[in-house]
Order: sequence, then C-alpha cells, then structure tokens
Amino acid sequence: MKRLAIALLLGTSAALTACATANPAKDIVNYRGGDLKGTIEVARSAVVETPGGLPRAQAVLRNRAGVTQKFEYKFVWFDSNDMSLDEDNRPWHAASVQGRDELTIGATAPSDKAKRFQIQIRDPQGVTQ
Amino acid sequence: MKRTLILVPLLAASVAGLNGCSSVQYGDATAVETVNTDFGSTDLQMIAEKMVDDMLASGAVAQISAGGKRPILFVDKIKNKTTEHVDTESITDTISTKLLNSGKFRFVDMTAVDAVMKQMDYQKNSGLVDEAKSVQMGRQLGAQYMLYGNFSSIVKNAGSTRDVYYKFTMKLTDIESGLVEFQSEKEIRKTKKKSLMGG
Repeated sequence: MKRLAIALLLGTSAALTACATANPAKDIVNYRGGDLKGTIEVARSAVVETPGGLPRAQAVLRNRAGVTQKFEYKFVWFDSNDMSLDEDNRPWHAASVQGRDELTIGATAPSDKAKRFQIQIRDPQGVTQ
Repeated sequence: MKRTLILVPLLAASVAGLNGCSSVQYGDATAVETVNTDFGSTDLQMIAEKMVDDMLASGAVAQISAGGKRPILFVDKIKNKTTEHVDTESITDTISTKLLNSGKFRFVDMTAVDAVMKQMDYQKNSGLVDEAKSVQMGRQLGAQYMLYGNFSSIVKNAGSTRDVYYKFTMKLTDIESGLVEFQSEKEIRKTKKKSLMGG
C-alpha cells in the first residue's frame, strides 16, 4: 500500500513537471518572487521511499544562465487535502549555482501524511546587516 | 546663556530625528539570516532540518519504531565545543518537536523531573488532593534511547576574510545495549569578507 502511494507520488511529480505552467500552486516548483523563472529550473526530480518508510524528494536545479545565480529555496510538503504540512517550519536555504551548473537538493517528508512536495524558489531576501 | 538656549532645542530635535529613523517590523522567522558569521537562526534551523530528515529516513530508526512502537527517547546535552555561547538546548528542542510531530517517537523530559517530583509530592503529602484522584507513583516509563551529540567549529581569519566552519553531530544510542543506532552530521560554512568601505 505504502509502495503504491510512493509510486503515485512519483507519477504525480513527473506529471507536474511535464505541465509546469498549468497551476503554480500545484507545480513542482513555485517561484515566490524575483526574476528566477526561466533561469533556475528543476532539471529532474524523483521521490524515493526511505528505509524509514517516508517519501524523500530529490531534485536537480539547473542554472540556465551563463553567470552565477544566487537564490533561496525550500521544500514544502502537502497532505491529501493539499494543505502544507511544514511550510512555516522549513527554513529557506541560501544557494549559489555557477553558470550552466547544477545543484542537487533533497528533503524527507515530515510524516506519512505527505502526498506531494513543492520546491519554492525566490531571490535572496536574507536578513542582513 | 544664549548658546545654551540654542543648543537645547537643537539636541532635542536631533534625538527626535533619530527616533524617527528607527522602525520595528515583524519578519519571516525562516528567512536566511546573514547578519554576521556567528551562529544564527538559519544555522539552527538547517541543523534541525537535516538531523530530523536523516533520522526519519534511517533504516535503523525505522526498525526500532516499526509496528507503531514509538520508542521513548530522552535528550541529553549537546556538547558545545565552539568558542561561542550557543543555546544547544534550543537546537535539541527544535529537533524533538519535529520528531514528536512525526508521530514516530515519544520523549521523556529530564529537565522537568524536579517539577514533576514536586507535584507528585504535593499530591501525596499535602493532604489537599483527593487520594483517589491523585497520580500513582512508580508508573513512569523509562527512556529506551538517548539522543546526544557534539557541536564544534573551526574559525580562521586572514586579512579581511573570516571563515567559520561548524559541525553538528547527533547520535541515538540504545541505553540498554549501548549500541549507537543512528548518527548524523551537518556541516555549515560561513565566510565574511570585509569591504574596503568597512562593511
């Protein structure tokens, strides 16, 4: 049953990647501000079942530009009602990818209620001096 | 005398002006914080996220929590080996909150033992609590596993560059057998280069 759920999750992720502009709220990537759409893209993603039984998402982010891009990202997991499980608790991560390079990121679902994931990407908005 | 009369309103106006420039606003608690290279909120959140992600994904941890067993853990100290004052209890609080919310673990809080004993003593010996409704002694559950770890750093300064490397290691040990069932690490590098303008 759990394997079937993971397979469904994987299938959904693949389908969402295929139609990335259909519905930003349900897309695998959600650009939360800035001008990164079209520059930082999800090259590929997968959901695997961990030995602990929870889904783990992995994604490869690709910088399509020729210069280094600095941005922030975070994973958000959603339950069967499409409500986020951990959006408030997941920190934004600062990332820097050189031109035409890729970055692999990943996150484990916080509980077995997780049905799908989303990667949120935005321009650096860090709290600085 | 005249000079004093001029200076006082000027000083008052300056203070009022300075107050006018300051502002307080609420922000995103999960935002990336890079005020300086000291240990900060983003470091704490990234460490907790990695530890919990790794622990929930671990096969060994899955074995001990299989079949809805929900093993009982207690959190021991994280040894702070850095030169900074870091509230490591705050890190373990975040980790235990996330683990508890996963529904796979239970915790006993050793920091609350004194308060619990005081309450039990009050219920048993004060004569004010109905004995039939007071809690029973000797029914607490013992922890099966201990969560603990180390937090260290390497700091290097060269010219206008400051490089700080943090390493957080967490272990889960079976109290009965002494075996380390799970271990995870998180490394963080923060570099600051002072600009010529003094920033």
